[in-house]
Amino acid sequence: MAGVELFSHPALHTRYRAGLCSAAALALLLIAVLTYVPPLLVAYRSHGFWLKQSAYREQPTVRFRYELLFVATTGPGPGSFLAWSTFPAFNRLQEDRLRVPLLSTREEDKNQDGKMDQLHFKLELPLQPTEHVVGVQLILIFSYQLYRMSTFVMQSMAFLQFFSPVPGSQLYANGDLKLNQRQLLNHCGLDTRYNVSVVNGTSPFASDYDLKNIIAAYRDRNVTTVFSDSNPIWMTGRGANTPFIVNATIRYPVEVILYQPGFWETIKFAWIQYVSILLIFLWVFGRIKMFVFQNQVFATTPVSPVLPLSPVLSYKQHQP
Amino acid sequence: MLARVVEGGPGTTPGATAELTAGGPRQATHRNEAAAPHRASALRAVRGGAQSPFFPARGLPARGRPPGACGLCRPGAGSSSRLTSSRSVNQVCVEKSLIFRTNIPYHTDTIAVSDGPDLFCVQLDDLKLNYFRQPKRIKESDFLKLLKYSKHSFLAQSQVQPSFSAFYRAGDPILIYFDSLSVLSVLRQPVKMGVSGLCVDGNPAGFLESKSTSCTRIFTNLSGSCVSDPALNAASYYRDFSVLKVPINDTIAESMKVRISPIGPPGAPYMEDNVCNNAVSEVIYEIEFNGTYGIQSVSVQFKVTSISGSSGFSLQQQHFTLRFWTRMLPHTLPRSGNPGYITGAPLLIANDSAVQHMSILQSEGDGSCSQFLRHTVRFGSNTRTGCKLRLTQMEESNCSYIQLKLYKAFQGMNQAEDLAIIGSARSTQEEEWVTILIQNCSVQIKNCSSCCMIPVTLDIQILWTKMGLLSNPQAQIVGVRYFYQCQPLKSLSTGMVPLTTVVTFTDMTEWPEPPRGLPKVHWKLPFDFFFPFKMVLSIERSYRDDLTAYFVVILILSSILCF
Repeated sequence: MAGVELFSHPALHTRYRAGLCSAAALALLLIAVLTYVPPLLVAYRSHGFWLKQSAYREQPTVRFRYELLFVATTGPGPGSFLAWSTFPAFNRLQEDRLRVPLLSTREEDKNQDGKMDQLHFKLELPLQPTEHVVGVQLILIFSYQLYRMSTFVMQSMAFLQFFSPVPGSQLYANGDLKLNQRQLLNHCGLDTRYNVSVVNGTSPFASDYDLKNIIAAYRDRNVTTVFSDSNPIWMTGRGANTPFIVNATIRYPVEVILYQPGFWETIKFAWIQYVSILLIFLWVFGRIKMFVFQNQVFATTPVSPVLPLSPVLSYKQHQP
Repeated sequence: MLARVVEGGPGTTPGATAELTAGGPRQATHRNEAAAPHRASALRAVRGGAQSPFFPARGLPARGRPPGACGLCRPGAGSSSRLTSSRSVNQVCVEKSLIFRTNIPYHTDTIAVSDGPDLFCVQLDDLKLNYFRQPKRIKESDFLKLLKYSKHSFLAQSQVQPSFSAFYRAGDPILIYFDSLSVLSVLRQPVKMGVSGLCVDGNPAGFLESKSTSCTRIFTNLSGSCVSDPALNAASYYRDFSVLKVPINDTIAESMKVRISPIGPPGAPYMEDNVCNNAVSEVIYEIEFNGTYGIQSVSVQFKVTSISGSSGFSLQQQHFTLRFWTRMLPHTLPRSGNPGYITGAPLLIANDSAVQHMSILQSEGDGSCSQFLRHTVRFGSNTRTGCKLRLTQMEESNCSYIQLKLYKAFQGMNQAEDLAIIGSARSTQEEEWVTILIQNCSVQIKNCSSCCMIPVTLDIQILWTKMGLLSNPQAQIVGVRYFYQCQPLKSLSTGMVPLTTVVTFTDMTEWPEPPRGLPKVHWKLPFDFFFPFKMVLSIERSYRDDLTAYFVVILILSSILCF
């Protein structure tokens, strides 16, 4: 018989030998296949074997870029609006509809963790007694950065729009600058895909300052921010010679960010699942194997354990 | 076997369902329906009762039973009606042998029957039965005590009558007294409320609460309101009443009254050419106080305006200011913090004459620079203003004159020399002030000697830092610079010069090493690896469960590793 040791009893130290092409060897091969392959199938078929996405929480590093674009509608007519922005080219295009407001902003780090928590924004638009504001469109531009997994840098915006049938004196908004993710972020590396300005401030062309084009280009991005205040407060009753005021508090909340796990993270979670199922199979098929060999289901040659300095040793040596 | 009796309460209709349920195959339900109009004869017909071991038995006079009703539906079993015929009691009976334990709350009876097995009877529908606690009898004196339970009611909690203390405390309303009417009232500071921003006149002014409010008034009939509306008449803000020195409940002595002295009071408003002249636009009360001795003197100043009423109705903004001052504090300007600046407080600047608030150019409604109004710079707020200054043709030829005019426009009436480092700076203390650095156009451009450089942008750069305790940091200014950006005059379009003022606050705070000055534990461990343990140790919460879980996990891990 070909002297290949197929199995060794763990407790009795009996060794079972048989040929490589024997039924016992085939059975052993079958058992091995049944031990290692089904756990993989079980883990895979029960879903979630490969980690496709994962999430973490991080407060983004947001800073107001001191760039804004403001349009106030003053009446139903097509030309009745006042506008101003921090972009000189836009201001040049407005001609006599340009009205320079008073701006006052303050970013606040409430918990002093080095990251800004909110922006207090106030805009006072001086108005003549005959002018009335019935609508406001305001774009504020921020730089938005995430660091924990991949370094994600973008320029984003908060868009505030409100129209009212009643002429107003003040618009008050208070909301979060929420991250809107259409795509998973990377788990490492530097991501500057969207680190481009929301409004092309260097362009002299009017089309680059058209709100429709700005919004369309911005919404084309897979990762954006939105200002979420569904109910701004519109106050009426503006006195003569008082400015129209936009008062906004924009908070930078902690965000849950979805990302694509890296290779090792995926492997790690797959390994955890596979091994935990494999342990059960190992135990079960270990018992089966022991039963098969102990009871000589397939013909093998058992070899009793070697006792040192005993005649059994020589007997054993001649066994094959 | 259990017997359970389910029944509607005593208030249910006579047709209430009575169910008796026993375990096992004997479980059966009887539905008893009303068969008689009177409660006393609330006899119920029994449907299908013959198969059941339960016998609804009505201890009723036989004549009360309608024909066809079945009081005893199984032959051979005893009937309680026979035994309790003299009383009107509702009972349901079952053979005694079927019941060996009962947990029903009803009154039960065992009735011996001579010619059959004993009956176990449950008495239903007893209105006198009460399984709640017996309520107390409420006497009139108890009522007040028990009212504390009535918290949930539309009746509001009893309003506490305002009691006057011996002196005013901060925030207390200031009492006034109308001599002619002998009426006690409070001094009011109109304020805007709601979305309309219209004046709410009932808002009381608070003692020691120096503040300014503004609100809007609407006049639909200006010619009538101009002379009749007291809000537009200066006299109504000081005449006919006096302020009480200290709050007093009962008799008001003459010495307790403080007359309000108007400073240069305007005349009554009058209409002229559809314009209301002498209408009050701003009221400023200056109240001198002296600790618990209360109010010493009150003066009032007015600003008046003219309201044009050409359109149907007109809106008029009014401002109301209350300022409290005392002889103890010599400087008139209120502090902007103590000691560090408070965010949002005005910055204090000083020149050789006086201390005042830092202000920047402000724009009028048409975009031109305002001659009188200037915007006050608030600590911490990055600000930007812009306006246009008109230059006449004659002025444009004189370069140095234009430069001087523009610098004056940027800086206001009085040129600032020093800026207060802290909000409570006193003009006498040299070390509490920092000199304002000024960078003019002449410093910047040297290669163009012929062109006229005029300042178009003033950038006020303020550096500040946090000082003092970590728990209560104080903001103080470390440096300030007026930086003028200039352009040659000829590059500008003639007539109007656009002027911009930008205020930038830069936080220079250098924080101590995290965790902010406390001794730091040196973890020579992979970052975040021991996060659960650190989190448990750092956060105060019910960590006992977590610790147990970790202990178990560690045990399992070690056992796996050992084998």
